[in-house]
Amino acid sequence: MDAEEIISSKEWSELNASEKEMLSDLVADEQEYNLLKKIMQVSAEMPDTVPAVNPSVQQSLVDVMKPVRSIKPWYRLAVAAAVVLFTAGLIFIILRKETKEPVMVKTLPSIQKDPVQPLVKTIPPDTSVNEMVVADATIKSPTRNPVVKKHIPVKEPALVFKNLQTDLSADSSLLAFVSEVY
Amino acid sequence: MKENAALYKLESDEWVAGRAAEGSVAAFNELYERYGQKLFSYFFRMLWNNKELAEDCTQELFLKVIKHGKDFDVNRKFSTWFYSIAHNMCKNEYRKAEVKAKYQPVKTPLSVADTEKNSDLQRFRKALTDLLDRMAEEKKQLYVLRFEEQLSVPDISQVMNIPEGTVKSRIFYLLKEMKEQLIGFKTLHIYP
Repeated sequence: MDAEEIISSKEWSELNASEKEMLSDLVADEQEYNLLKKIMQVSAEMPDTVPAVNPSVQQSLVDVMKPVRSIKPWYRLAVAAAVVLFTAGLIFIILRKETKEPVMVKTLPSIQKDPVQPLVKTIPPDTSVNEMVVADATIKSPTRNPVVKKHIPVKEPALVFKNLQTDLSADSSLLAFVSEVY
Repeated sequence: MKENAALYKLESDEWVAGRAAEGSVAAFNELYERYGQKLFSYFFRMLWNNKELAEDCTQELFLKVIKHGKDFDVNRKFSTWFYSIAHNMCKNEYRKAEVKAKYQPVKTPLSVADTEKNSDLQRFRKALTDLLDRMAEEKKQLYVLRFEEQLSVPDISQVMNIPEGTVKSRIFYLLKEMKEQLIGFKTLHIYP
């Protein structure tokens, strides 16, 4: 038993010689011993003199806890599903946009006016090939993005066929074959 | 599912704290009932009898239990863990006060004893409170934990992170110092 325990549990008159010897460094007489007892007794009562804690402290803490409690697994799953759907939708829109880039095709003015015309003009073997042009397959509808960012120059078809004509006349057997096919 | 508050009354602090950390309001309320006023009282005594500051600290401490309660080591005693956090929070407040004191003097709020006059017991309490306010931080904490909160020596050892033997010897010297400071009251009969 140490000094503090002795003081709190015993009266001065109850102390034996060895206990008094043990306490000699701390107390000189009965009055000092009783003073220490008073200090301990009053100290133990000190918390009773403290005002009560405001009930709003507990309430605010409970309020903090409530939102934490309401998050349930199904709610988390719903949030995850929404995120996945949104991402998938975004990817779909981006891919679709990429495939809808406008294609520049040179068309004849006459074809533009009358879309029923054949797509490719047939050229008889003896006709000048300079007139051969590829027409647009469909009627031009207004595009979503009418502004063409980059103009790709169309190579003059006549030049290609001019070369072909030269080559054909050079090779008589090939000319005969082509004539037969036509 | 409605929680049965009565269920928690029979459980240990450690178990109730675990449920509170998981989000059980009933468990939290039980824990607050056990420690709310105790911790507030501790802060109030430690922090210059400042009610607002003590309430703020109490709130902050319980918030830590809500947020970090899962980190609590179940092998430790909950009350010791709780007081350890409170002890460190007080240390922080002392540091803040030191910085503040450099620029403006700290106003000590009126203690309860100031408003109550005359009786010997009130005079003795006032003297004790004044003595406590003048004490060094470590001594004050030791005094409040041992003589006001009535924590055991092993618990204080864990809270203050010092060996048990050191706690015992510090208590001895603390009592000696208090007796010398309050020697004027030795003839006073405040208890039968």
